[in-house]
Amino acid sequence: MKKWSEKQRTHNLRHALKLNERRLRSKRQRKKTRKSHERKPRFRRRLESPRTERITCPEQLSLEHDRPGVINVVRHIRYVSSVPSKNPYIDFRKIQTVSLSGALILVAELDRWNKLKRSDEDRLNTIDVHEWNSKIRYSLGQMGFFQLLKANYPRDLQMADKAEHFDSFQYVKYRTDSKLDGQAIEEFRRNQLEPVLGTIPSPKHFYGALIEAMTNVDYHAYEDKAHPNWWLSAAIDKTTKETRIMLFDQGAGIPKTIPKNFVETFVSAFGNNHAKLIEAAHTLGRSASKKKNRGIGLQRDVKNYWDIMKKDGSYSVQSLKGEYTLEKMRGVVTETRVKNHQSELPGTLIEWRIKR
Amino acid sequence: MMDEITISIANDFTEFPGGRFPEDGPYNGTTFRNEHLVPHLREGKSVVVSFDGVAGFGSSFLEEAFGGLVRENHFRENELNAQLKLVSSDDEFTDFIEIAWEFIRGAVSEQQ
Repeated sequence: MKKWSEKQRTHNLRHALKLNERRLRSKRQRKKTRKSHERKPRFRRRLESPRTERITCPEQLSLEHDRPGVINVVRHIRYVSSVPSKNPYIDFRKIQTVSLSGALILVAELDRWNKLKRSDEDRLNTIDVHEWNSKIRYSLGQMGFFQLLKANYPRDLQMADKAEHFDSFQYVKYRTDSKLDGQAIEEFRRNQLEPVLGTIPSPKHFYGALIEAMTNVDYHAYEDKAHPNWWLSAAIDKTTKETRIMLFDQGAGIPKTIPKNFVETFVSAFGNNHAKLIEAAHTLGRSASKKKNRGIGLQRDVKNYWDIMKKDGSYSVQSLKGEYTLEKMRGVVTETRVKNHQSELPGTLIEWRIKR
Repeated sequence: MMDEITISIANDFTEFPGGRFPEDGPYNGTTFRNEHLVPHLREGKSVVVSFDGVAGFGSSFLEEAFGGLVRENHFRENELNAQLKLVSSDDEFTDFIEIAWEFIRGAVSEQQ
């Protein structure tokens, strides 16, 4: 074995110490990095996970202003909910304006997500609420969005948002069910609508409109009879004194539930013109049972509630690509619109809009 | 003179009627007709139905409850005119009473 000189031995020792020092430094660095990684909150780690799918909401969460944007978000959420390996991150930070239609459709989709998911691990939650537009936070908060997700809406933010927006508008907490529930309608009117909107005119016709709209959901809307859900909410614009009440379902849609032999001539005349088919459903009645006495509620009750209002306002039904709207001034119908859109709404949205 | 019986929908059945068939919920038109109207009408009694106190009505319930008397239980129009009386002290129910009679007449004309 080679015998090293004193000088060589010293050099080797220094080199070994240097290598050891480098190794230890690298080990400390690795440990530090690992520690800082461990300190990251769970949601941050989930965000960085390759399983996470980022879904960005449009600037205007409103069917009236950005219909394709709202529908794309809903479709994206639905896609992610169908892939078990995916976690969604829905970015609300870009939203600048919200309307009742957009908020209700989004809430319905998130509610559907929560109903589909089995474990708490899969439940949606909120992470960056403080970065959202305060109006969005306040609107969704009033609708019951945070309770739906069992998420935290910090008290200080709640107070600040209320102070900023209380005088301009108010949303009513949504209600949902899978069955006909007359008591729920009455409670919704007495406990949720009227404290916010004031006395609802013709309450018995209001009940008739909603119970029949729910009956339609039960009979016609869902091919999958296990989940015939409806979602109900309302909003008041305190500046214009305008009240909007909406019922949404995620069913097959009115144009697809008109039996061809019942309105044969109309279907052959209108083909895929969804707006015209919705109008026909109001004029002729709609029935999957093919019996003359069935399917009369849309015209007789649902639209009738708006008909008896001697005020300004509108009645609108959007289903799939079609939209059928009636406008009224001082109780007189001034305009009927039938419009087909490019993007298809996943369900049916009925709106009663009344100006005080 | 016929015996008279008064049925209050709110007190004897429900304040919250809705739907047509039992599968729609417990307070549907078929159940109301079969349990509260048909037995008394079959006995030849005069039946007074009070609409007061109910939250409201949808057409499905009214059509099945009253139109169904003709369509399903084969009562004739003149029998119902003589035996059935629909009443309310609330003006908002006038429309619903009219609609219920309309459904009876509609069922009669469908039968002919």
